[in-house]
Amino acid sequence: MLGLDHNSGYILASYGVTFLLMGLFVWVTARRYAAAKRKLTKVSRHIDG
Amino acid sequence: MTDALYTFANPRRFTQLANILLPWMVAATILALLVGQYGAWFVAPPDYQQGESIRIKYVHVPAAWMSMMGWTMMSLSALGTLVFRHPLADVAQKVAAPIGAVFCAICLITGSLWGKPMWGTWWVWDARLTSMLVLLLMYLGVIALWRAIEEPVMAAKAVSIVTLVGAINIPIIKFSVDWWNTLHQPASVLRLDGPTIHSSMLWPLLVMGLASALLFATLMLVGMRTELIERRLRRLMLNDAALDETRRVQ
Repeated sequence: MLGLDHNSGYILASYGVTFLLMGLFVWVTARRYAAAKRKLTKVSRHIDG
Repeated sequence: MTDALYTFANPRRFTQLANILLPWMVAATILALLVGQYGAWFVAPPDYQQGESIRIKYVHVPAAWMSMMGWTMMSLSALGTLVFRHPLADVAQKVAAPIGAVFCAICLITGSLWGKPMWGTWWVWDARLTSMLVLLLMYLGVIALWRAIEEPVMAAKAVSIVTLVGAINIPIIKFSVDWWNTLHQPASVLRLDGPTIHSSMLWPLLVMGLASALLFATLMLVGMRTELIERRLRRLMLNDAALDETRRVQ
């Protein structure tokens, strides 16, 4: 049974905030890793070349 | 034990291990999250006093656990930095701070969203809530300190000392509900005489706790891998600049 009642706004807001903040953090972490890896490849190529 | 600690002190070996572990960690996190959410929404019954609002607990409590675990982990890493001089300890310490801060912010926001319908107020300055807010401010302070000191070794030392001093807040948060008369309810899971909540509510909470711990560990691995790359980049660029300077002088 999906549990919602007259306080459903607070319940949904809690889950919304949690998943939004965590989702954003995961996205930023993944992007930062991808950017660092790209930069490392570029710098290594520049130094080797 | 000490040997095992130093086996993965080599950043290259650590990165190799992280690359192997990460896909499994991501899969385990998603699986635990799905099972935990199913339990929280479809299995756990409403509370006889709180009604359906009890479902906020399944995100609020794991976030509180992770924010305290984050600082505890940072304190152990601080000891690793100051006492054992483990090369990855300060990396772990630096990466754990923003993850702990996000969990702490989630704990405070969801707690507030639970407090309004249950207590009739968004916030009270009771010992548990205040000590949790102090933890968030400490997280933000440590993140600022990492950014303020440019030299990584100096920054690690300064942050380690602040982290160890701040560790006093962890037992204060945990026992605040026992030491002082608080509006926040006392512990119902992590108790010496065992949990006081029904198993139908307990297992979804524990699975959500596991999912949060796995997410924390996954983010730590990705973050540490990124930090190691960024440090390598910094070294490469400094070496390159020094080499250019030498050539120009000659």
